[in-house]
Amino acid sequence: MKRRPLVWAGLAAFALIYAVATVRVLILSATASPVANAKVTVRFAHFYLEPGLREAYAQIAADYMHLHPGVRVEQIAVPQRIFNAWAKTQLIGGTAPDLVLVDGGQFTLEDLARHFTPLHEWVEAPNPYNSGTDVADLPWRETFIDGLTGSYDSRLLSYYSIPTSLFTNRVFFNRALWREIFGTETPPSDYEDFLAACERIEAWGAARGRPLVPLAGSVYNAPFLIDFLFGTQTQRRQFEVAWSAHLRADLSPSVALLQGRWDFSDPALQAAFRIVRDVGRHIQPGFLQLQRDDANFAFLQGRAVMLASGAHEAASLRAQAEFPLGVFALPVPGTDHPRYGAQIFGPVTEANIRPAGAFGLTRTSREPVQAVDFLRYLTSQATAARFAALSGWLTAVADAQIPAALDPFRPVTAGYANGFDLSIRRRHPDAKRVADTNLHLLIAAGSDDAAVAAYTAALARDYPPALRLDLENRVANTRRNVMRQDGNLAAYRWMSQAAPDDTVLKRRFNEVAEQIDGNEAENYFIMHELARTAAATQPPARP
Amino acid sequence: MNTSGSTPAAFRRPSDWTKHLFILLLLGIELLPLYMMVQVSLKDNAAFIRNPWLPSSPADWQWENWVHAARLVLPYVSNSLFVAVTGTMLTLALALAGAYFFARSRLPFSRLLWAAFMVLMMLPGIANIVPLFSLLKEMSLLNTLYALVLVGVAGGQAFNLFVLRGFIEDLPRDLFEAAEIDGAGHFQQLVHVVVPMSASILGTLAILAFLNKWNEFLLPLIILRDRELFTIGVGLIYLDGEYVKQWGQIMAAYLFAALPLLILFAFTMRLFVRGLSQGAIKG
Amino acid sequence: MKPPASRSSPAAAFREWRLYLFVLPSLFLVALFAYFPAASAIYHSLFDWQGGEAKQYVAWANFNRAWSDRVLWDSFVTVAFLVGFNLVKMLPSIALAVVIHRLRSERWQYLYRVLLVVPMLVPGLVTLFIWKFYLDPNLGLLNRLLDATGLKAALVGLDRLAGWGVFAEGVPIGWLSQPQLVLPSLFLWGFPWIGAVGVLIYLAGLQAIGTEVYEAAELDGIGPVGKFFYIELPLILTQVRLNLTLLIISTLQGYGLQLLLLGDTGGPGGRGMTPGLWMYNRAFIAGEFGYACAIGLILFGFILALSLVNNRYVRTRR
Repeated sequence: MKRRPLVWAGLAAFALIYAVATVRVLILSATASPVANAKVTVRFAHFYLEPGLREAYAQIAADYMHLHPGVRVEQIAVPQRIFNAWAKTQLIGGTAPDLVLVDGGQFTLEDLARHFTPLHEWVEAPNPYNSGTDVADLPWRETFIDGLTGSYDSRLLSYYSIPTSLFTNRVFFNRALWREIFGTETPPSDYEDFLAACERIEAWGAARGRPLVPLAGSVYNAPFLIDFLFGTQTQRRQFEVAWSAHLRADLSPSVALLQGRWDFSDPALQAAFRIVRDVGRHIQPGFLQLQRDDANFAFLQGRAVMLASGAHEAASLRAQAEFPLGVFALPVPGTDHPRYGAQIFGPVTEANIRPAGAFGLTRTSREPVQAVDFLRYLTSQATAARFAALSGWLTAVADAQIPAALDPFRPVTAGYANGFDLSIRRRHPDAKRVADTNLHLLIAAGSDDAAVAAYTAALARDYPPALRLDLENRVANTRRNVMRQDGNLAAYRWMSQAAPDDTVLKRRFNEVAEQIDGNEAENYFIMHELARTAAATQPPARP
Repeated sequence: MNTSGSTPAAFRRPSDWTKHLFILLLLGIELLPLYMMVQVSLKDNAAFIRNPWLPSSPADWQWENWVHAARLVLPYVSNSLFVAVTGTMLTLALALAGAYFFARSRLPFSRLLWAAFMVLMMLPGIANIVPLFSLLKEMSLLNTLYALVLVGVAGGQAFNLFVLRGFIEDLPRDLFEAAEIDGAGHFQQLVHVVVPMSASILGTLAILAFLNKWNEFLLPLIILRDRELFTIGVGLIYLDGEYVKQWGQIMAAYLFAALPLLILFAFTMRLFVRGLSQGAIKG
Repeated sequence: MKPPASRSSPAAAFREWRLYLFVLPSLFLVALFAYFPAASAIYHSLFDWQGGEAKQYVAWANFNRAWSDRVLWDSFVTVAFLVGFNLVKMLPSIALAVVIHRLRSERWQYLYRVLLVVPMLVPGLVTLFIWKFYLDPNLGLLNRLLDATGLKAALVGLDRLAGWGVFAEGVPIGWLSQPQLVLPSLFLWGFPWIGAVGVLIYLAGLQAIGTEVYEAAELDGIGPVGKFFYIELPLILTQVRLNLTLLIISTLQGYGLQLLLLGDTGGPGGRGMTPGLWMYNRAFIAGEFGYACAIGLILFGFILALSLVNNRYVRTRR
């Protein structure tokens, strides 16, 4: 038959391709085995897929490899959406890279304690790559913008990551379109002006039959607006319920909810809901479905005039936008605002922004010394400046030179600490899920009061049980961690008894003991409150 | 039996155009993604926004998208090919042997073993993933393609055993008896009697198994760390996770991911269609 | 059933010991990669296990928690809806098979069979992502179609009458962002729901019908619909039932589709959460592997019960 030779030729080709594929796999497996590899390999994993980032990391890695010929540095970029599950399984499976990004709140205390190496010994020594600069003698941790306080975990009593960047929240706007609508390129500096601008944009678009939204939105971008503004209204509550008035967040808002010191009908919360609705209505409809790239797309296509995001977005937007890009900080209502002024202390400070781009050293790393050395290189004065220039991102290293283009993103330190939002500093995943999945009620069309009432009702029903669950998990985790510290404590005590003149050991023992006491006390308090308020907030028993 | 291809003139129905219309409508919608992939892959983002649905003119075709996509997708295709083909061959070989055991004998424990295999068909695999993962870790198989092959073979046993057992049981006994008289042991019987007779059903099962493994993405997503080892599923998921979506490049990547099967199909068209139809009767 | 080749007896076993070797590799792989993890999952469901070496025995705590876990119960409701949807989605395949079968020309039948297989060759993920694109509120095909045909206006009007609060004038429909639309989107997905494998299987079954049957039906004055119910359906009923069983089991377990389309929390309002997805969520997002194993076992028990019911009341003719 005429067809026969064709079929045979096809099968032969197929067999050939299969053979090639098999050989390739065999070769890959052979070269990947650690025995075959003579070079020391350091791998680092992150989810920063923004344009310019991978290239910047690659360039820094290349420079490092140039300095150290026997070392190979490999970058692994994983989409953020799957990074959480990916990282956890890699860590459990022992195949995790040496350095893993611990940003984004995906790692619990348990994860950090189990999978990452504490870095407190390393951070006390000066960074050798800073020699010749004026910070040559400073301990490594002092060279960071926050002194590494953001990386210190008070429960685990050590530093668990080294940050490389800093993200401040800003609103980007389309300067060309803005000029077309308003006649100037000056962004709003006042909250009411901002709202008025949004309405003006909508009207302008409607008048010309051109679908224009003021704010591009997505599940990623919305929190920059929503959580931020929510927090402005809970500034007072945060202060009132806080156990200790420091700028770091703790669980006081959560426990306070259990204790009934605030609930969702509280004027502060109602104002917070209302302010979220105010702005939420001007965000691109359907934004809860959209991902970050959809929001960017809408903004870049000129269908949205503004985009709220972090400084980390600047480089990619600038690279793709066909219009000049403007930046401003989202104005918050002043204390004289009729509806929102009562709850707010004042503008929000950026002094407590936790640096980002923090890499942790995994316990299963085969090359911890080399990996830490790479981190030292990455966060030295010269390289940090180079990284900022290459990537367009702010750096977490203090006093490193940053390009002038990044000036609008410099953190503004004057102001007050922001209040809590419904994820309570992202420590309550289940509670946050409840808040997010009901958000559509709040921004629905219709009367303001009805929307706020609907949201309030939904949260009053579903939020407390979810919060309890999160707290119970947290309590269990903390208990496990305290148990884990018992070993350390015993070791320090034994060692300091064996060497009574070693003051460092004695001090360390005291520090650990004091911290553990504090952790345990807080934990017991939370357990006590959970038990005491159990009847009120448990879900109704199943029929 | 003959289909309705040669109905006598007395019973000729009115023309089939309604049927054709119905079929073409459904098939047209089914084939729409393919059309989208081809025409979008030759545009850049600006052209795509301006005109999403109609092809752009040949002068504006962006061949770089195809080059970029090919370079990206080819390693994934190679890996998927290895996993799918090796997995399919091993699955069928093992299942055939096992089905022979169950079909041709009632040795002690065979009922128990059969029940053991059948129970597996109903076990939801997700609860297995972490113990499976620890197991693969103990065996140092994490981040390898071999793990995917082995787990795929294990997973495919139950269904293929079921189908093949039924098939072998339906084969006429005399064929086996004739072979036994000629002095053939069980293995020779398997090779010389069963395999030739079951060519079509093996073909069908091979196709189903191949497609199954080709489309898999959950396990590879979890256990593969190195980009060089990614299969198509994982590669596409990573591609979808990019922040800046160059739709032209993405659609080109999808096209190249679909291309291997289409090419394979073009060569083995008859086998494919016939195999699926015939083998299905037994299934 | 034909009598087996070997009798069941220890003597036979001894004589035919080599046969055991035939099933051994299969058994070994299945024991290692399917049974061992399953047993491990059962074991770990009794523990508070976070995936590593540390675990704490908690007996039935995980199951008690599952009993009062509202998300889990709601996910069962959701998956029941999905099973219902998939039942409906079987119909176009059957219809298409019947229509192709009734064509007069064999050549056309063959051509359509070929065209049928082509979409099947596109990787499932690609189809999924393209559908995600169709459902995009701003760029997607579905919304544009609704706008262009005026159906959008009709929906808005209907919404005003029925008071759903879902469709509004000038607002692009967020198919995957409105909780009320999550289930409809899961229903719409994959339109026109043709499964090539299914259609070919049904076609094969239909080929067994001879022309005399049709002629007899013609004489009896049975119309096209009648022909379907009296002639064609009974013959493909076995395949339909088999497909049905497989479909139900796979829908009950499924979560890959929801994971990629809606994300790991089941989308807005958690409406797209299936038991499988909840399992995945508990294991890999919350790190509660012990609880996830418990959910897995509950799901398994459920499916087992359903299969037993199926076997008892639905007999498959060979």
